[in-house]
Amino acid sequence: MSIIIRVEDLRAVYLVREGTIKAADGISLDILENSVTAIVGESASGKSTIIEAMTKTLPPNGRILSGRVLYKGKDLLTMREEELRKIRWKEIALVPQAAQQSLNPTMKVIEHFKDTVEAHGVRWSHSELIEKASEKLRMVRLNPEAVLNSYPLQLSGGMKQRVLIALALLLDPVVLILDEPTSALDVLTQAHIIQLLKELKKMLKITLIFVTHDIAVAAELADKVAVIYGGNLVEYNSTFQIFKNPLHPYTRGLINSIMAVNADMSKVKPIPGDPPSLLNPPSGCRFHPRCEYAMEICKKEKPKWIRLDGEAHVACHLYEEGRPLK
Amino acid sequence: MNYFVNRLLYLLVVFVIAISGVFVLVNNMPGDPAYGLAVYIAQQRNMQFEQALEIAHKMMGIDPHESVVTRYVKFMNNLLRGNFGYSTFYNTSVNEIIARALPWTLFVISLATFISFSIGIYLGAFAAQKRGKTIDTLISTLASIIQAIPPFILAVLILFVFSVRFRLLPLGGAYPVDMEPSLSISFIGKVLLHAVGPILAVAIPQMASWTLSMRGNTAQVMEEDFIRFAEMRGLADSVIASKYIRNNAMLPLVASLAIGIGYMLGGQTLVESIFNYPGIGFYFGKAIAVRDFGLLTGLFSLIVIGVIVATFVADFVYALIDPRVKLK
Amino acid sequence: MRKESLKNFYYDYIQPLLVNKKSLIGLIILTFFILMATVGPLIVPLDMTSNFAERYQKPSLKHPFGTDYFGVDIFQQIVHGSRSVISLTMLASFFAVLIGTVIGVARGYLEGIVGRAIDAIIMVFLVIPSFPALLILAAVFMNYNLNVVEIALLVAVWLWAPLAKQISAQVLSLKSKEFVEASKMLNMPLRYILFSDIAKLLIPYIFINFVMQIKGAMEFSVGLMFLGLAKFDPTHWGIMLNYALYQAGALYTAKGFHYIFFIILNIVLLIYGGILLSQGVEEVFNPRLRGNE
Repeated sequence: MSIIIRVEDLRAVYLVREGTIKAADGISLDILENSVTAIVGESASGKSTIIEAMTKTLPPNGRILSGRVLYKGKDLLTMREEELRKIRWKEIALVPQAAQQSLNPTMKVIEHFKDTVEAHGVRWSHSELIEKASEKLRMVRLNPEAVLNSYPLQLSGGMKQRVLIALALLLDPVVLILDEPTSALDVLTQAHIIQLLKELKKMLKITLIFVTHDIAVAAELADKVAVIYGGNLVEYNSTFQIFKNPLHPYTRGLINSIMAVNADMSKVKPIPGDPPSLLNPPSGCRFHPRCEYAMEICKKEKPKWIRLDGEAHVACHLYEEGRPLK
Repeated sequence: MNYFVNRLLYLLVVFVIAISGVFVLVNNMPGDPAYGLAVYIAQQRNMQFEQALEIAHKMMGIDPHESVVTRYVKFMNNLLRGNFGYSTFYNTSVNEIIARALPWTLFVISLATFISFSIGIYLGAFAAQKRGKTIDTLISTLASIIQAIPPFILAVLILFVFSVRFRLLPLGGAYPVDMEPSLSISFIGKVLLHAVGPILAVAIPQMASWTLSMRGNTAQVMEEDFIRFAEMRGLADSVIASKYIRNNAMLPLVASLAIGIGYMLGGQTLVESIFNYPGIGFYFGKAIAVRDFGLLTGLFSLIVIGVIVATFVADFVYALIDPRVKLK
Repeated sequence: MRKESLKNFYYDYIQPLLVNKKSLIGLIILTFFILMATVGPLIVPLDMTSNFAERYQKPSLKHPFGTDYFGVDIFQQIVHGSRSVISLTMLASFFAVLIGTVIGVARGYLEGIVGRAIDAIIMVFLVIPSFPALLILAAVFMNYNLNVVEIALLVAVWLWAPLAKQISAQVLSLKSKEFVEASKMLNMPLRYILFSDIAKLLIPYIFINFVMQIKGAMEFSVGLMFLGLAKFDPTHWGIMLNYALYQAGALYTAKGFHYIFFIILNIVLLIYGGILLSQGVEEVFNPRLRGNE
């Protein structure tokens, strides 16, 4: 499979009164075409920042400091605003996290489809628009007749999330990015959405990237998993390998914590300590204060992003020193 | 629909309580209902109090032997038939005065509202888009200074500057006393010129408050997630500014527009008095000054009706334009 | 202990107001007028005797604001009038907040028919156009020579309703909050719940509203005086304006401009001080209030 998006050393911060939040700190990542990639991390680990920086949709106080995001060989970050606007949504669509408030409360659903199409200079007649929108809505298992003429407040949380996905699929994008597609939904609806994304993956030739705090969701959907900790990418591997053989101590802790849910409670091993503050992140490896394998070097030096055999990437001194986790 | 029936009933109750309150206030003063008027007449005409009281009774159409309840029933009964009572000062029915005055007031407030609303919405949205910049600070500071000027004080200033000092505007009235009302261009021109002062005095403070509300609403809407999502979809800034930001920010204001017009019916008493502009407020002020309680209660009833109709219309308009309300 | 709580009060309520630009300027303006009202009359004598030789003198060192139709110094009148202007405004705001709070809290606590009746009363006062109603009330009571307190009450009657509505909504929402539930479960007396839990959360609310009433109270009282409906003090600025316009006819002569101008300037500046302070107070405290919702 070829690489469709290559992220190189991406750095982004948020400016707040207390200082700068170093939310994405030197992220490098290759996204494969027609694959499903999960970006997993705790809340406030900077996982959303990565996708927002990649698409240049950071909130007003966000700043991109450095890095390149190569899409089909062109850097999205240095592209002219006009050119980027054309690519956005038509080729790369982003479904934001706040699905519940992302539709204009005073506009019917159909109008959202209409203005999206108009913004991209696509010349569809009204009936064509209805037809296309209906097709996408059916794809996300919604009844087009009922939904298109509704106002957002008439839809349930899960329905709104699906409308956003349908809206994102409208112009047949090459890449679909979803920010926490299952958060703020009840368990049953979450399951529906996951099922739906699985179907989409089978049905369409599309590259999916999604962000989640729930590694179980990643296990179910993704081909590849990228694990974020404290604004750093710590591990990137195929889903199968990540679960079979987690390399980074943090990944191992994450996986242990979900295994415990449906297994013996006595084996629950939550990761001790608190997530790091991104205002003043720890020195060296940001995980070292919570890491049971921490060495002297971990406090001083930031581990390099290294490639091991196969698809495995990790940032951990244990591997630089050739002392892998057993 | 049920909601509207409920609302209407509720407003009717409010109306009855309000009107009854005023009736009781005016008619059931400690002692004699005509006491106040009698004191006034005695002072004005230099006569004995007893004599003045008798005149006052006649003027107010009060039979001292009739009970308050009987009078109240009479009054409400009349009101229900659209009879607003009798003015002792003008010696004519209140209905006739309303017919004479209401068009002038409606003329001034509708023009003033139209002007202030359109400019205020524009300025408020503009300031919010430029939040934190000098132009925003300028607009908001000016608007809050204007808010500190009560409309009647503004009226005094306008009258002094434009009418007395520079003689650009007439000193008062709705049209020149020496002109016969007609549909000629010169007459219409004079009418417009006479209305400029009152319109400015009403419109400028209104404009300031529309500007500030619109600025606040716009700033709030700009923070909403659906704005960011619209940007993500690649919509043009102009589309976002109008269909997403302005429409949502304006909704609550359109509803208050109707209520505002209702309140202005009686709220411009001082402005109309200062410009001698023969609208409802002018006659209301006159009724206060000469203690014409018949005229006072009649006009007040009209004002309350105006507010209630406006409140109802506002509810209706709001439900019509905002799906969030419509669907509840 | 007392000292500690005073200090906390300073850091919680006073210091933020001195940091915010709007509330600071507002406070400076209001303090200036309060000083004018308290100390001013002791320093500046008032001489109301007519002196037609000095009619409509322009502002000068001798007469900082010039003289009026009767040749009386305008500055002296403004200073002495500030006393009744400030006391009337403050009293009216105070009464409005008092009535609004009592009725609002009562409404929040009382359920059933009594609660709905209070609702209806609040609604009536919200809907009735207040200025015309105030004028009728004043006209009815005009011949009773009301004093400052009584006039302030007349004004306050038309100002309290919005506050009562807000407070009742606040109390209703607080009532359902867990900690009130908890004090009920712990079998603490209703009185305790009312004063301890709810009063604590309402204090900033009441404070903000007191400041916000200043504009309304000023406008209403000046309007009343301007119409000559309450004449307890000839140097009240509203009455001065009434004299200027209707007795002296200063409006219709270019010479009288300074007469009107200085009265208006003081009225507007005082209201503006109130508006600035309330905007500042709102900016400082409202996030905290929202946090309580």
